[in-house]
Amino acid sequence: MAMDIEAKKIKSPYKPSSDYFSDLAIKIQQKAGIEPIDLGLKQEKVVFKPTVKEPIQLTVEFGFPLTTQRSSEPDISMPEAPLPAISNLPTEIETPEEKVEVIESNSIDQVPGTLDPVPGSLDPVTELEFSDEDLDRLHAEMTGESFVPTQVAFEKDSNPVKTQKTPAVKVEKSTAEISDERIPLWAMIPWSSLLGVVASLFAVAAAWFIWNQIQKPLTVEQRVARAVQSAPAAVAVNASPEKKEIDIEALPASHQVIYDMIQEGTSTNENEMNFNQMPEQSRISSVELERNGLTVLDLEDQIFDEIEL
Amino acid sequence: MSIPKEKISDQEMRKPEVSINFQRLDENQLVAYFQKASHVEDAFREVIRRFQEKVYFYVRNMLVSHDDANDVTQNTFIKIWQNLSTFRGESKLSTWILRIASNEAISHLRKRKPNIDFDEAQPEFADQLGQDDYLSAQGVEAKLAKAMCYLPYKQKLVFVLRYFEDLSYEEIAELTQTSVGALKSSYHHAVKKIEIYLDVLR
Repeated sequence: MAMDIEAKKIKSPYKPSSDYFSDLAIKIQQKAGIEPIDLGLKQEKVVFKPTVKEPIQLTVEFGFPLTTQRSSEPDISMPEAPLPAISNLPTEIETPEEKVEVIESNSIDQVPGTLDPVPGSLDPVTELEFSDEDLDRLHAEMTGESFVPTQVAFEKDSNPVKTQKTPAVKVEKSTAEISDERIPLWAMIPWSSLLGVVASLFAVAAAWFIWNQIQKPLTVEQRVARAVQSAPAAVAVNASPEKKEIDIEALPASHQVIYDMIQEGTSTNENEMNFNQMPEQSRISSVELERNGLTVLDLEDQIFDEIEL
Repeated sequence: MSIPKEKISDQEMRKPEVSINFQRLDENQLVAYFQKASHVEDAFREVIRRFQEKVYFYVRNMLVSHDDANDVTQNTFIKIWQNLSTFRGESKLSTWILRIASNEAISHLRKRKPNIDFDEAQPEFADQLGQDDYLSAQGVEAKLAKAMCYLPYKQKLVFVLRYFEDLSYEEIAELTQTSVGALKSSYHHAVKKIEIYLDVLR
């Protein structure tokens, strides 16, 4: 798709500095023979000041308070600390002494208040060490019931039943077993590495093929040169028909009038199309034709004449 | 706020000793001071300040070379200075200045190349691109500058005045002494050619 340069304007690529224009202004004034004055064309350096946005509450009567932000320059100046006079400075540096406070054992007695034991707790067994058996025993003592302690049979069986152990994973194998289950040769080949090498070779071959298929891009000059070479051929094709001898009297009357123009290959006289030399009526007619898209006027050479100053 | 011309001529122009802020004057007010010998130098300085960059960029777009543009810009302002008192304000000041710049550029080209044909493109301009520091040699701007080198000079003139200087067809017609229709046609052809060149350069 062709680029639309009118839709998005492109700036001029030429970027002289402001210093250049300042110097140029001085040179022009010198050449003109007037006192050169700096016209202030140099750009001033832009100084950015830091700003801090602080919210300000503006309204408070009804509804939500409206807050906005106010930009202000922060006060970043540091107050100067007063320097002590040299004569007042200490001559010796004091070494800090470690102050160790010894807490005496009897100071614990001075702790106000007394610590009450947890109600219901039984010494020496703490609450955490209570078991169901202890509770049952306590309950039996309180109710007078007989308490039979239950024995938990966690004793180690002296004669355990021999069961055939089947290890989940074979950890060790005899040399005979290894020889029977040897890894096959195809499994030892590093297929992933081989595939990577093949893919790389294929990519190189593909790149080589594409590189050979793509033509070297032509420069603008080469393209223009080609266009210029092809242009005369196109003209030659159009100009090839030979002029035929035509019997003028056989032509219709309207064609006889413009026969000379057809033979010459030009429909108008150049002097007639010179806008500035046209009579007034012809100028008006030409402009009307042009506005209606019936003709296109070319630029006149007179635009390059020297103006009268 | 601009001051009416009548007020200046009545009050300030009778008192040349009063310093005038020329930067605040509009074009008509500035032209009025061209006729006043006591203020003509300040008025000329203001003309330099306002139109120096415009003239330089216009000439630079036409001639490509920075050195050529530099010379032609200086010559243009010398001619403006020499003829400042003759300017009557019948056309816009900017149009008058660009007309002088156009003629100076053409004179410069004719000195360089006496048998130059302005209906033909001057592709040798493209060789001068990127030979100085005042050019951003990358991006679409540089490509546009290169594409413009392949335009015939007349089309390039119309394109630069319309595209870069934002002049109306009527102003260009006044500057080039040609018809608006011819300018429209010429500008249209120039735009199409540049778009094709930019596609090729892409």
